[in-house]
Amino acid sequence: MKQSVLLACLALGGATAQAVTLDDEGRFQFTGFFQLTGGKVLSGEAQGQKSWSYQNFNCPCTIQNWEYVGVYEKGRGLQLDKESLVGGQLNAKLTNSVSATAQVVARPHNNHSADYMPTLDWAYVSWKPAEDFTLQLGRKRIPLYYYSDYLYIGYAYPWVRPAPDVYGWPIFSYDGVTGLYTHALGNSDWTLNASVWRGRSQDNNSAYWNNVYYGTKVSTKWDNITGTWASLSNGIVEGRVMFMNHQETTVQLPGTASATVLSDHQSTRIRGVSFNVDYQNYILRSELNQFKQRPGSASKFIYNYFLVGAGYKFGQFTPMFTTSRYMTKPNDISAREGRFTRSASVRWDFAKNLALKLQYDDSKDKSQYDYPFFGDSKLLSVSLQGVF
Amino acid sequence: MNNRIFSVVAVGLTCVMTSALAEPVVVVGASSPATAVSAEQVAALYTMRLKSLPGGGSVQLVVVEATKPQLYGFLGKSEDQIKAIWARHLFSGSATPPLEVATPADARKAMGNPNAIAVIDSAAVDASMKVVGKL
Repeated sequence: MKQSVLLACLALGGATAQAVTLDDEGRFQFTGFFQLTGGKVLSGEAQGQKSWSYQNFNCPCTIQNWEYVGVYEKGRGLQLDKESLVGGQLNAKLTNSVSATAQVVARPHNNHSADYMPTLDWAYVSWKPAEDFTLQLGRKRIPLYYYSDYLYIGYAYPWVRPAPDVYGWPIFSYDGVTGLYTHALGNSDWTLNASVWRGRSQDNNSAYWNNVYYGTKVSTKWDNITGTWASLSNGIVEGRVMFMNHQETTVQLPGTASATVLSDHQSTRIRGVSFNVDYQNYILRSELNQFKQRPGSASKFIYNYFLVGAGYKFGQFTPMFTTSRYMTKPNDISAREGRFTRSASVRWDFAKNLALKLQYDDSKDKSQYDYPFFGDSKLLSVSLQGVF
Repeated sequence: MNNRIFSVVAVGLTCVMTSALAEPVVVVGASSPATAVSAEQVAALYTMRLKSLPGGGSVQLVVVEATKPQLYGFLGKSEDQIKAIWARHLFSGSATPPLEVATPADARKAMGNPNAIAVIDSAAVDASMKVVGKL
């Protein structure tokens, strides 16, 4: 029943496919987005096994979303409930310099609310005291990498989803303050955009830690999040750099046993660069990022990860070839974890505000755990994505 | 009689010349602080790399159905590419939705907002707006 409600919303969104202006002057506007994504694991293996279990997953399987733990399992055939979602956003211009924005997103599975219940993913007030500067107060997604703050707006990028080898942390939003700066450089085509942010986030029931790693309830928080990014673009090429520091505290809360502190205000630095080109019909996407916890406890982790993809737009069709990879450095408590993925995808802009995408991912597990992890997998995905 | 023929011909010629001379122009509301918007700024505004009119607050982009082909052609993008760029900014908190309107008359209504900008046919310019640039 609930699935049919979601599908009805998607159909309605696709049919209307237009921002709804709630008053004559456009001060109140309702917009939205959706993706109906189906995935099917074609095959997979781990450490020579064709069938195995990892945590609660029956594998062959593949994780395509880390934040909400979207895992496709071969035994379940075509699955529509792992990445599908529908979101709505209300913008209210309160004065010429003050506006408020709220965004809710409903997903089939969500650790933080009942299934299909919308969650408030964004809620902030913007104040524009000067032509080039905006100050925002409230909840936003952390703009770590190029796609982080629009990870679920499938219509805005060429793939079914940005490579999960790059996009995957337990904390993905913050409550705090954000500054945004935009500036045109002289009379050239170049513009400078930059942002600084400060805030914190806590998740007392982390899907990522619970379902992927520990199998019991885990609480995690990122304190003292302080970050900045800057990008230069002329509409054809865009370069972006980002730095962020925070302190991670993660505590395992098994039912009856005492809590285990996995990390306590662990200083963490995340940094990244991206370089993208949109020249005529040519598309290039690249990112190189690192997550590094400073020495100080046994739980320090270092991850290095990247993606690079190229495509060409033939009329309504945009095929892309993309490779992505992540690799950790082994430490006192964990062996190396890593993955290398090659993807072929095509986006078909078949109707106004609607895109249909098909993607094939061939992924190799490079982890050195002494048990089978998610393993190698071949995944076929199809997604209908749109905005309204 | 000759005068009447002359008048008809003159009116006809005026119509032909007006339509021949009509071109897409960049307009803002008559009350806008902006006096000139360069082609580079128009491109940056409509791809949401800039968020404000010169001297103004958060821009309200207005897109008129009839001049869409010229606007998108000027930006060097197809409509779906532009919509993808807008979707990125709208749903990640860095811009507000463009106002898509059917006719220049609808654009005139939007020009009551001093931060509104539109690309319309020069023949549709009236006292509610001022021309600040060309594509």
